[in-house]
Amino acid sequence: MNLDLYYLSRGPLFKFAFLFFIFGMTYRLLFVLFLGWKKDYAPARGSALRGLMKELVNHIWPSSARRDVYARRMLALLAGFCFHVGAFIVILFQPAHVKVWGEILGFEWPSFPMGVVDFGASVAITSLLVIVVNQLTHPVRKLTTTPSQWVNIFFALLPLLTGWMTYHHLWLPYQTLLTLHMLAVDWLLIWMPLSKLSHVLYFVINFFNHGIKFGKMGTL
Amino acid sequence: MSPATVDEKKAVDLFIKTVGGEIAAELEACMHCGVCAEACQFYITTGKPEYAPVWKVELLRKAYEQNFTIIGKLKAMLGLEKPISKEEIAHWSVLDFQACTVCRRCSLVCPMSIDVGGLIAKVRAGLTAAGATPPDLVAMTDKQINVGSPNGATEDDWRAWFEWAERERGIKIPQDVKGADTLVVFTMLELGSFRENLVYVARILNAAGEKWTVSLRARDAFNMGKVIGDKKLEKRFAERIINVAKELGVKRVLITECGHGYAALREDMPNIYGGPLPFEVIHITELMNRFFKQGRIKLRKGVFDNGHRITFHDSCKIQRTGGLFDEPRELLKFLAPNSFVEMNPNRDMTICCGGGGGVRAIKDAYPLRMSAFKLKVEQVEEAQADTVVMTCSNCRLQFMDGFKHYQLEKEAVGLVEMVAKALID
Repeated sequence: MNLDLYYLSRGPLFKFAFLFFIFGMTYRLLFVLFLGWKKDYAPARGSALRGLMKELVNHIWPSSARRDVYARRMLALLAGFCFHVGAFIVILFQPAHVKVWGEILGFEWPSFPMGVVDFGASVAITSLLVIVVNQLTHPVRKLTTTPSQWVNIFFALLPLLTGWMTYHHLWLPYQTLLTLHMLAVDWLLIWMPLSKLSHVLYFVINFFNHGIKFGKMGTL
Repeated sequence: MSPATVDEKKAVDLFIKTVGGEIAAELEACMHCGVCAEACQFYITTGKPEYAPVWKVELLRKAYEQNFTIIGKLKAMLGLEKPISKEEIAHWSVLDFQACTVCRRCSLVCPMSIDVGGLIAKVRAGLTAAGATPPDLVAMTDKQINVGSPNGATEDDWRAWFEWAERERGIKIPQDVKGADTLVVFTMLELGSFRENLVYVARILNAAGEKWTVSLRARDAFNMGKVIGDKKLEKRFAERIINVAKELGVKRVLITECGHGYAALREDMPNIYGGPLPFEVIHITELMNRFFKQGRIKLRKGVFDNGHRITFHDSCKIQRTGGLFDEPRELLKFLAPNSFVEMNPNRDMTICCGGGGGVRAIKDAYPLRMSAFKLKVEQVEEAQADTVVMTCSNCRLQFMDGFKHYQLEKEAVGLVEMVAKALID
């Protein structure tokens, strides 16, 4: 592949994509925050702080009644969890990625050995494929999955797959794979604020809102 | 109902008006994983994917995407997504009113911390705005508007109940006592089927030396406005109680064995008014427990240890979202220390009886609510309980219907009755 395209994808296009990501996610966060929040005037039976703590506990080690519910979807839940852990290992601890973060933030942190990163990438890719099968076969997922979600999975898979292929020097010349990987990353950074892949922002808002609300009710 | 009669634009208008930061964050976070379905008794017992809570929210999701998001607006403009149709409104009316009690069990398992049940309540409000409330619930609402109670019980019927208590049970029911501490409000559901509750509550309050009153002008805590999601009606019905409470100058309003009536007054009205109410709203479960701990009522310990196993059903509005988990248990463990057993799951993760949220009132929903009740049957049988105690009359009626349907020789009892019968005079 043309070397110019590689330098474009690694240079100005990456800068643009990263800035688009930052501004796009900020816009999405502020848009939701400025839609208005109502104060809750109902008398509190429990405590917001206790609710938040129980919310945290329920997400890390759910109660046995919740585990009984989750057991019915254990494979899909585990796949989701493993995908996120694997993806974060790759994004944050792959040696070349750590160098990129260092350029952006001005400081670096220790990277993981490539064997660990490769394992993380493999787990992330496999988990995403498990999610795909689940979406194709589980009756509720078949009903609720929208075309956008297939698009999102494809764009999330591309950087992982091209990165994994690059590391393993698979099927195409190394330079081509690296360029494809960079283009996939650039596109993902642009796509995230435009899609449900921005869900991480809202999880944080919901976590606090849910914990406080159900804590005050006395539920948690 | 016929799709031709609904106005889908009114549903969308209400959805748009209702969306704020909280709902937007929840809709944006939903990854459609469907874990919520695994907590829903309607989905679990039928296996029907449309009963998944996430699917019950679909109309709100669509309205939000098409009106608030760039991609959504683009898709609508390009014709890739159609606006909500009359047929969809009619269809979701069945899903959200017959296959959902708004029990909010789904809200407690969502990996993205979404209050899914709360979103379904908003969809119900939109369906009602569009004229898609189930006819059985419309009829009840009309009766509550015109006559005062959703079953058509008139002021004369209520007067007759109060007079019956005095004539047949020797208990005077004080009415419109200015300066009383507590205004007591029953429901027609409760007194229509469990008339003795009037006597039980009166005996408990008298034993505690409470200065209490009822009022024919504030006679029914049932709130069809809350059931169908009409905030204006919810306020109108609640104000019948609030206005009398203010006029009589009471310190508290006591709701007896009703769940949603208690929630409407305690949780919803302060938020509809934008400020706290000038009196406490308390459920009979909490007040009985308070009297007991204060020594204002004395109970015979172990009076219900009679060889039967007794368990407790946590109701959705009084226990799960009301937080009153320990109050009934403390009483039951005193009254039946050797007989009380817990069902599993319980407390915040209780399984709904399947009859709440108006479902029991919809004739067409009978097969669904009996299907949902299967999970309660399994719980009761696993606990090997002979008697199930609860603090909500609608739950009690659903349990009685369910035990009859499944031909089980088991009892569904209100806690008020047990406490009243255990009183030491």
